[in-house]
Parts: sequence; structure tokens; C-alpha cells
Amino acid sequence: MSRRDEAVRTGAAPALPDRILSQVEKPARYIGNELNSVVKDKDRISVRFAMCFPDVYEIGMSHLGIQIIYEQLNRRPDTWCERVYSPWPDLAGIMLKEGIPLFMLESQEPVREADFLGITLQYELCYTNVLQILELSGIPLHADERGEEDPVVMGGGPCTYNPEPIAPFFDLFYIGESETVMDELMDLRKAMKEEGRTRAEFLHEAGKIPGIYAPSLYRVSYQEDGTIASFEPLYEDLPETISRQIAPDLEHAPYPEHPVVPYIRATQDRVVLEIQRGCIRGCRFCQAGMIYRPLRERPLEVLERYADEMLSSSGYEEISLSSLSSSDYSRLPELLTYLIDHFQSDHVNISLPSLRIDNFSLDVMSKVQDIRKSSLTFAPEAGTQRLRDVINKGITEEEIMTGALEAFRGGWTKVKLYFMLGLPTETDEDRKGIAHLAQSICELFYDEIPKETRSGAPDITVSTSFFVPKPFTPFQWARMQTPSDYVTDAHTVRDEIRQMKNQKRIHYKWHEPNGTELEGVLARGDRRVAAVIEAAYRRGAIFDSWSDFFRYDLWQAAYEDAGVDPAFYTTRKRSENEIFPWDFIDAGVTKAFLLREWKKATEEGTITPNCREACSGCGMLAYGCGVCTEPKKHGAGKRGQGQ
Amino acid sequence: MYGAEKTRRGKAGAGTVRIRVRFEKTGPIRYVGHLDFMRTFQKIIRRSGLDAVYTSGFNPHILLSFADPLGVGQESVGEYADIEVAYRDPFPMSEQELYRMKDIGLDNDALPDPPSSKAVLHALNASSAPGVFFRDAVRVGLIRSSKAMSIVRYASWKIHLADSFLPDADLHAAVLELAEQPSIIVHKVTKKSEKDVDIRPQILSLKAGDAADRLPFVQDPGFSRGRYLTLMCASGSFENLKPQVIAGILAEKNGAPFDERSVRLIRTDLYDADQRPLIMAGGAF
Repeated sequence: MSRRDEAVRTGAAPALPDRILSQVEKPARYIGNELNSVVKDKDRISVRFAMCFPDVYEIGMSHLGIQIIYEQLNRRPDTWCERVYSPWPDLAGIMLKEGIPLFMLESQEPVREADFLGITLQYELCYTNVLQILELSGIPLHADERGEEDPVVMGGGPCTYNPEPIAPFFDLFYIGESETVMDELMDLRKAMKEEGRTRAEFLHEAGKIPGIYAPSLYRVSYQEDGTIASFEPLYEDLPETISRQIAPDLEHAPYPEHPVVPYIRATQDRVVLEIQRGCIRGCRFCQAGMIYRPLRERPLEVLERYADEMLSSSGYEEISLSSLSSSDYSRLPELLTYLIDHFQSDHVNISLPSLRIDNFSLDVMSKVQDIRKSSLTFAPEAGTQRLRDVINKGITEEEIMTGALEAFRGGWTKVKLYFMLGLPTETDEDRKGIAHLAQSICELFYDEIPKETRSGAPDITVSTSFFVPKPFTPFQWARMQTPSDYVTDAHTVRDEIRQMKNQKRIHYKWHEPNGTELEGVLARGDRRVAAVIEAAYRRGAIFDSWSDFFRYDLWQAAYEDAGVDPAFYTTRKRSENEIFPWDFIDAGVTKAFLLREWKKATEEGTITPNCREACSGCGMLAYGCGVCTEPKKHGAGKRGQGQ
Repeated sequence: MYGAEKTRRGKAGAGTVRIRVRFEKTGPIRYVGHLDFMRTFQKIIRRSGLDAVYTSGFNPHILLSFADPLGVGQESVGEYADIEVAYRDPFPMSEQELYRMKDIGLDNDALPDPPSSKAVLHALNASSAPGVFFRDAVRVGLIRSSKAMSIVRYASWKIHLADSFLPDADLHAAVLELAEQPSIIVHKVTKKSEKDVDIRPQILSLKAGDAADRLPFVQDPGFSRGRYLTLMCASGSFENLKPQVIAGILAEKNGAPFDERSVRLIRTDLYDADQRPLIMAGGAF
């Protein structure tokens, strides 16, 4: 057998020698070679793209977006997209000590061999990992220190809706969905490489592509109070605003019909069907609900075909649906029926997303889950109707009670309730309301379910997390609580639950508030925050989204190193006409709409109907697709209202 | 020709036919541990379209068992798994068997005819993961005591030695000396007890070799001299000897400390009590 045949049969030789692979935890994270991973002949490739999720393999492999980009880029015969993840700290230490460069999984070759290092930014607390990826790859941390041989470092994903805190570390950001301009960017790179043009020339040209932002080509100036005075491009041929790009037609968009199947168990270890993108609900705290507008459904027939193809090509024994609010998918009953009818006999486990609890969803759940073990999830997010109206969470206590009662009658006893603390206008009454709601659900069980039909006692789990205001949401103007307030608030909830008659049936969990302040700083920070991130990284901060690793003290020191006051970004009151660091981005939803929503929330306390009930004039109509162009049902509100 | 044993069927959910496969696990996939490898293996079977039998319940899994788990980092060209499948059993059935089939909702005559060994191998290899190559498929008896994991007693190993392993020793002489010892006492410490064990009876044969017939996939630069040991020793749940223990003893008897990274382990086959490869317990179909 020739060496080449062997490589095909058993895969590329690992970049890491045996002595390292045999001493690190879970070496299978680093060997690549997974089923359906794409290996190409690099000599026949014009553009190499290293696609990175800056967290550990099991997390990164669970991300659908990367799989979509992987599929899309690898469909091009001239492009090879490979994957990169953060090494676990045990390996990162060895690599730094021995000077082993970070490598791409498919070819097991150094990241520096690639033309692009694309990094998906799914949560702010991954920023120190981004710096480590750069350092391990041997790429200068600062974009302005990079040379012709360095890959172009490019960011994408939800955090790019405020890229400023990490702007100095990136050559480009892409604001939008990959399905649209990635091809144009690859073509440009290929052409300019062939012409022998410089890095600077390429970045300048790339900056003219819609949705592409080259941060080094823009200048920010600040006012005396620290807020932004102006933001402008250095060249006249670059746009002043970067417009978010969206894929209007998901029906024909690339989709990973042959998903890469990891050897080790990923966090999301199953076939994932993205049934729709965007959300009609308009919850005022939710960034995803704003930046992925408008709601665009994938056709039922397409999803059925994907399910068939993905299950047979991967061998997965589980399938789940992905979307922001699956109950809003207009053909959900047909889709679930199809999945159950076609795949349950093939021993495929159907895992349901959180659905609105009603007779239909309970019926489906009883078919695919063990009622005794499964729990029902409600996300009221706030404890009183007043506050639920403020956040525009379109769920009423009556709906929760009706759903819970039907579930109890169906044999369920476990209920999970999710809430946020630290929401705008929140008072102790709202916090205590969380306990009262849980108690009401308990009472409902004892009042309505006859003793002889009960299958055990009700088991209510209440979880709270701390609210962090995000750009491009109506709450982008909101002040955050101080870290000590968070603990007090959580204790208020805890103490009130202990006062309840059925307190023994109610369990309370709250997320540690440690990372909340940091997330707040990074979410709404400006370019000056970059120095804090770099200082924290230099002091050893890494994997900040993992509570085991997060070190509050390092970040406190980093604020001092950089001379940055976190309160400026968290608890400061922002005026209505303040220029935000992210205002140069046109995300589709207008600032006027967001401000209107902010006032409705905090001054009027009124709700905004969902997109299918009435158009609230958010600005997305201009894109002319999805729910905005759906035929409206009987007598729904006028389009473009309130503009 | 079918497997020698014609046996009773298992409890509800069990298949009608048990297929034993012999396969290779080589290359980077050696770093995939046993539990993860089992999941990968299930996916290979699912993709192959083989009519495997599943457990019932909300988390069904394929009725599948491995002869003897391989350690992380070890390779093999002789691994075994038994897969239960639902195909028509061409043998006449007793009334009791027919009743049981009915009970679990299987109608023997309605089941598809089993594909040939060749077709099964082709389907598995077409769906396989890099580094997993199926060599043989045979049909074996259905009773529990005929499972590969129940009958395995011995394993043969090829132990590749790094250039740094006893670089100046006469390996053939050293091995011969060790093999001629009437007893080899090893001090075993477990969570529960400490005791001296004579491992000599667990060794059936031990030889030294060099580059001439080296397996092709060890290309690690630290192994350029191509020296290796072949070992046949006890393996499985009955008695088990780790091959690296032998390399360790050899190193220490010759006055050198042992580093586990100075050996690369390749299992070449697994055997029953009669020292027959497990694949011989069944017949092609």
C-alpha cells in the first residue's frame, strides 16, 4: 500500500506527536478525520479558509452556523474550508511551551497556511479565547502588526453587531448571514492573490463589499464625557454605514446535508434542522429576536428532505429542531408528524425544542418522551404581568396555568420555569412574583388533580439568570445593576420561595453573577475596551464563559491596567441621542423603532403585537421577505404602522 | 453454511441472527476511546442499512457487543464485534421459537433474506469511518455464551519499540531469557488489594523481530529501527495481561526505566480457549 492510499484509508497523520496525544485529555478532539469531514488536495485550491469556533471542540462542533459555512465554502472547487477549535488548557499549555502552532483539523496543518482565519463570535465571553487562538497560530494579536503572510482574520456572528471591543484584533468583520456575500469575498481574495496585490489593498477592496467592515479603515473620536463624537471611514469610497446582509430565500440556501459527525460526544450530538430563522415575538431583551429578523421559514418539503438525507448520511440516532420559537413555525404539526411517522420506526429519537404547551404539543411529547422523566419548560422571564408587559414577553399567567394544568392532567409532574433578574423597571414585587407564580402552579396541581390520579408530587424548578442589555435591542439604553445588587435580588427570590406554603416542592437555582458585569462591558463596549481584553488575557484569563475558569480578579486588575471604568459601560445612564459604538451598523431594525419600543416599555408599559398580528414598523419590511411579505390573516393590523 | 450452533432465541427485542465482524481500527482513530468508538460503530451500522435489532424504550440502541475493548492509543487489525440483526432464519423453528417470534412482533417468513457475508462487508466498508476497515463477517450462534466477549481468552500483539527502547540490548537474547523464566512475579496494586501475581502462565509466546515484516502504518520517526515484539497472552474478562507490562518487565530486567510512550501497540487478533481466532467460531453466509 502506498503512503497516499494509507492516508486516505486512515486519515491525515496527526499534527501532534503521540507523546502529546497520549498525555492530553480527550485526544480525539484534535485528530480530525471525522465522518463527512472534507479533505481536499491543497495543490488544487486557491483559497484556504480556517473556520474557527473559539471554544472547546465539543461546544464548537455543536454549532450549526459553522456547518453551514463549511458546506457553502467547500462546495466551491477552488476553496477549502477547515475547522479550528480552542485547545483545552492542558494542550494549550504544551503548545505554548513547545512552540507548536495551532492547526486546522482536516489537513492537520498550521492555521497560518490559510488565507482566512474566520472566527465565529457567538458570545462575548469568548474574547480571550480569540486572542489565544491568534497567539497559538502565530498571528500578531493586533491587525496593524500583521504582514503579507498572515491570514486575514475575520469575525462573524451575533457579537459582530458590536464589534468595537475587539476591533483592533480583526482585519474584517462580516455583518450578516454567510449565505449572501461569502462567495464574493472568496472570489475577490482569489483574484487579488493571483494579481499579487497587497494585504492593505485587499482589505480596502473587501471593505466595499456590502456587509463587510474593515475596522482599521474607520476612525472614532470621543467627546469629553467618554461617549462617541464621530465615526467615519478613512477613505471616501468606503460606506459610512455597514448594512447587515441577509439571505431572503432559505429554500435554496446551502445546508449541511452531510454533517460532520464527531467521534466524541458533542454538546449537540444530533441532526439539527433549522426550521426557520428570525422570530416574530419581539421580546425587548432579546438580541436574537431583533438581529435575525424577519422570520423566514424553510418549506416543509425541504425540511423533510434534509431530515432524510442528514439522518442517513450521518447515522445519528437523534434529530432536533432549531429555531428561536418553534411553535411559530406554521407547519409544525405536519413536520412533527412526518418525523414521528418516518423515523420513530428507525429508532431515531426525536428531541423537541421548547414548545408552547398546549394539547398538540403535549400529545407529541407523550409520543416521543418518557412522561415520568421529562419536564415541561416555561419561560415567563418575569414574575409579574406588569414586568412581562415591559419586556414584551407575550405570555400571560393564564396561559401558563392552562398549559400547566393540561400537562398535570397528562401525567407530567416536573415543571421548569425560567426567569431573568435585573430587568428594566424591576422591583422587589416582581422578584417576589417569581415565587408566587411557582406557588400558584403547585397549588394548581393539588387543587385540580384528584389524589387517586396523581403520579407523584409536583416538582417545580425555578431558574434565574441575570439580564445583560445587548446592542440592537430596545433595552440597549438600559442601565445594569451592580454586581452586589444581583446577589441581593437573587436572595429576595430565594427568601420569598421559602415563605411559600409548598416551598419544599420548589427548587431555586440561579446563575452566578460573576460574569454578568463583564458580559455587560463587552456587549456595549467601545474600542477602548480592547485594551482590557488584552490585559486580562495577558494576566491569564481564558475560557471566561466556563464558571470553572472565570477569574473575576483578573478582570478587575485588567480594568485598572487599561484605565477603564466598567461602570461607564454597565450602570451609566445613556441618553436617547447618544451615539452608540455600534450605530454605524444598519442591522435592519431602525434606531427609531428601538427607541419607540424602549419608551413603550419604560414609560407606557404597553406591549407590541407580534409580526403576524400586526406590523410594528421595525424597518425590516424594506428587505421584502419572510413574514413581512406573508399574506396577513383576517383583519390583522396595517403594515408599516407607527413609522 | 451457517454457524455451528442452532440455538434458542433471546428475550424480546433480540434478533434472529448474530453477525460477527472482524475489523481494523488503525490510524488517528486509535485516540477515540471505547465508549465513543461504540457510538461511532453504531452510526456505521445505521448508515450501512443493515437491519440491526434495537433495544426498546425511549433511547433505543443497537444490540451490539465488542469482544474486548481496546485502550486509547492502541491500534488493531483484529477487532471483533457481534451485531444482532433481524433477517429470515432459514432453519426450521420449534413451536416455542415461533411463539417467541410472534411475541416480539417478528414474522420469520416476512423478514428479508440475509445478505451475503460479502454484501455485509461491502455495506459496512462503504459506510465506515476513516481507519475502520471490515475484514470478515460470519454468522455465529445466538446464545449468550457464544458471544465474542464471552469466549475471548487470548490476544496476539505486535509491540513496536521506539529506538530509545533498550537501544544497545540484544533484543532476541533478552526476550529469550524472559520467555525461559518459569515464573514472572508482578506486584499488583488495586483499589481493594495488593498481591504478587505470577503472569508467566498468561504468556503463550513472546518473540522479538525487526524491520522485515513491519506493519506499514507505524511511521513515527522515533520508531525508525523497526524493532518489535510479538506476544500472545491472556486477554478478556477471564484473565487479562496488558502487553505494555511485558515491555516494562523487559526494560527493567535489562536495567532501563520504562516509558510507556516507547511502545506502540497493535493487536493482531483475538482467540478463544482453543487458541482459534474468534472469526473461526462462525461461518460465512
